[in-house]
Amino acid sequence: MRIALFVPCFVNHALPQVGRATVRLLEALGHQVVVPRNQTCCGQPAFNTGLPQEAAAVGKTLVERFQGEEVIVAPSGSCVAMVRRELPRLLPELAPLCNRFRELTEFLGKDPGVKDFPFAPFRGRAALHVGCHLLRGLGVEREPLELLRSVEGLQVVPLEADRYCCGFGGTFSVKAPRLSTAIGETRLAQALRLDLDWIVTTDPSCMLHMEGILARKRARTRVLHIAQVLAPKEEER
Amino acid sequence: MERKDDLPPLARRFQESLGELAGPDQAHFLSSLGEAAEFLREARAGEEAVLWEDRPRERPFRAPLGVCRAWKAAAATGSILLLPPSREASWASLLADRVVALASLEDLVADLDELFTTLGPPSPAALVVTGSSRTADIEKQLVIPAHGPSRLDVLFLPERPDLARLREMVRS
Amino acid sequence: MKDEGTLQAFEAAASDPSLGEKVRRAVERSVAKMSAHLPLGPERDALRDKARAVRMEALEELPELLERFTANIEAAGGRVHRARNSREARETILRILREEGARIVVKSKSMTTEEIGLNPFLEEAGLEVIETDLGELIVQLRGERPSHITAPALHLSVEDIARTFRDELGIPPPEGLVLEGPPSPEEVRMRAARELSLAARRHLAEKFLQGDAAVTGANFLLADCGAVVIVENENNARLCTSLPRRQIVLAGVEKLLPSRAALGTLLPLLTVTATGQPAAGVVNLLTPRYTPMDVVLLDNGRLALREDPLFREVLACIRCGGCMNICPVYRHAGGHPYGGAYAGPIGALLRPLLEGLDRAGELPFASSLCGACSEICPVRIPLDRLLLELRARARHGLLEKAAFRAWAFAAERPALFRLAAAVWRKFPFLAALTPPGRAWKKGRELPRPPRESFEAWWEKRKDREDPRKERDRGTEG
Repeated sequence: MRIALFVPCFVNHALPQVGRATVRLLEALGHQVVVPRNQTCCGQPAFNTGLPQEAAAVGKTLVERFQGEEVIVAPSGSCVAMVRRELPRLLPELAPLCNRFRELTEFLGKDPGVKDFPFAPFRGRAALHVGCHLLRGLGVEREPLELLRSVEGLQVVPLEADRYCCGFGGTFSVKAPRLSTAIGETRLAQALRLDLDWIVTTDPSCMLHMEGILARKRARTRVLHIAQVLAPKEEER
Repeated sequence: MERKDDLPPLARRFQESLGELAGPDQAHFLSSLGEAAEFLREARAGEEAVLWEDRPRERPFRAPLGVCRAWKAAAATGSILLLPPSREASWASLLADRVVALASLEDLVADLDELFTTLGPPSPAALVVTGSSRTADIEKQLVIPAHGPSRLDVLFLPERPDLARLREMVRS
Repeated sequence: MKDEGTLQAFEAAASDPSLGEKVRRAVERSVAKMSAHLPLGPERDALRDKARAVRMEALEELPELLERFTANIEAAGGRVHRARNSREARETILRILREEGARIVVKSKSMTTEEIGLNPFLEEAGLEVIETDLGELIVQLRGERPSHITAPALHLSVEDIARTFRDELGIPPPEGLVLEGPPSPEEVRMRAARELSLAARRHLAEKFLQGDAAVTGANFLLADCGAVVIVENENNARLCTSLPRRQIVLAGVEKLLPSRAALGTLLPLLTVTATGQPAAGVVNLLTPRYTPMDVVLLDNGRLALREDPLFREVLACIRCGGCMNICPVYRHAGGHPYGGAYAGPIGALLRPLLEGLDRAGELPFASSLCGACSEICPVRIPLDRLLLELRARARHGLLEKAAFRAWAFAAERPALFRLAAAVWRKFPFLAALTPPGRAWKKGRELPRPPRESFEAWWEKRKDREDPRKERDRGTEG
């Protein structure tokens, strides 16, 4: 089917590889991907800070790019949660459009093409981090794990802290940086003790935060977005 | 004593629940007041100072043993209902190091929900007690006792027990 | 503690890793026990729905419940006093104690007495105040606030407590326990916890008999039978209410319930969420016929909060402490940074809502909004959503507002947004110089900018695939 890709600002400008992987994945599954131009931001940073007016103005700009699209997918639980849970109240006339946004694994969980899809093998021992907005905000818990389990060669290691926040929390990450980092270190502690190869996450913001902590620690463990694990390999240019 | 598999299900459940409290508390299922008297004699009720709920003292007195009535019991949690008619009467289950509560199988209900929905108005007080006193305030380490009793035994009889009659039998 | 209630306080607490370790060790046990008895899931949710319905209905009927409760307490020979604020509550309690001629007051745990600052007030008036709950006794000896509503000394280690008992009570430290330096073996420490608890039992045994009057809290107030409900494990509340001459109960007005039937729903959820216990050691239902009783009902902002349609459900809280047990912020900073009597997500809501955002306006921001609190709350208060709503009511600094206006300005103009992102890609060190950038770097590396943005890659790909599509460019890229 035709899928309009919502490219979160973090993905567009800081983690484009996540966007590219999402495109590769959706196309490999037989979908036609279109990317509306001039996407900026869903407005969450302002909303999270308690400035709903500014958030609504920015969110409106973003959502309107998708007029006429039936299926809208983004590789980010927090951005989709913002659009689907918060914007309809602030922009009631755009509510039906907002309700069409889906997070990637949420979408894939209902995509019949995923069953028996030959995901490329991906070797390594990994922990799965499902972002809080996806896990509790959108109620998506099963799908990311099931998707990873279909990848040959990947050993998903359950950790005690698996349902625990990574500590990013939006503007919280810079308003209470030591606290934010401490929470992330607790989330990652067992992964480091077990010397895992990867942390696979559903959210670009969690990704930036955890990757930042691991880089500061000079850990071998790296963070990947789930799209990067599921998608066929990127072609060398 | 009694074998677990001889007990009716609610009784067995009560016994298990009390056991899960990880303390010294126990439930016993007896067939007569005589057996209860025997139990109390073995607990030295005849010799040492005993607090009887129905014979309250005027002044607070810490005793090694206290005897009281459990008017209801809840199997899911191992809880009993005390209805002390006065503060002085409550000392029997509070100032004694070891408490023996007499209950009847007729008054054993399934859980706390049933206990509270069938509870009459407390007059003057109603206490739902689950096991002996305990605390975990230091590094969450469970310690028994805290400030109250250190051991609770619940004796279940087929019919509602009479404390006065029981006391006679213990002393004879 | 300095800066209580500010983000600074949280940052300072988070900088002490040993504090977080102690807190996490303690709350993890409660959460594990809770999960063993009643894990998150549909069974728990069904109970939560019932519990919420009971509490919300009670809040709705509050004025009638208040009337009925008062009538029943008075009919049984007790007295009910209404206190509009902390000052009135303190003065009422002192007046009753003086009437009684009380010199020694024993207390069972009450966060509401903490809320009104009762202990220092009574001590200044010349009374001796003895906390009888072990955790409360410990923090009282240390001159600290309780850090958790059901486990006041949760932030302390066995060694901390042994030192306190030695310094304040002259009790020698338990055999073999090393107080400074590398900790003793675990079994020595656990034995020490037991010894210290028993030492407290001995220390307090006499005090219960010496108390002239008792001040207690109440978990609930029952309107239909005029009874106060006190839930405990230690039996110290039983002792406080069965020995001294008079009992004074301090409770917030929101504690009212219509009848004891509701306890069967509320109590199992309360205890299993608080400490993982299916049932508490003792549930006391006491009336003035049991002990001479004065009930002081505290408003202190609650009745006004009840009128707020958005935030009134905060009053449904049954004070289980579950939200604290599960909160990542609490687990790393402990309870003291919140200031006041209540910590964790519920504290971050109650303090600003009862005391005013101008006094505690930073608290709603001390949260990553992960939502674990809402998941665990026995009465389904959507704590994380309410924290977010409260942020919208907080006063924002001019600089912050200006920054977000600028950001919104750019985000509504894609070309400008694109330009700003390009500047960052070209000159990443600029980000490192901004306040958010500097804050980020406190514990993490900043992300390295990519060679090109996703949209640039997409445009190029489209060109490669079909250069003729240039003229079809509309909303599709």
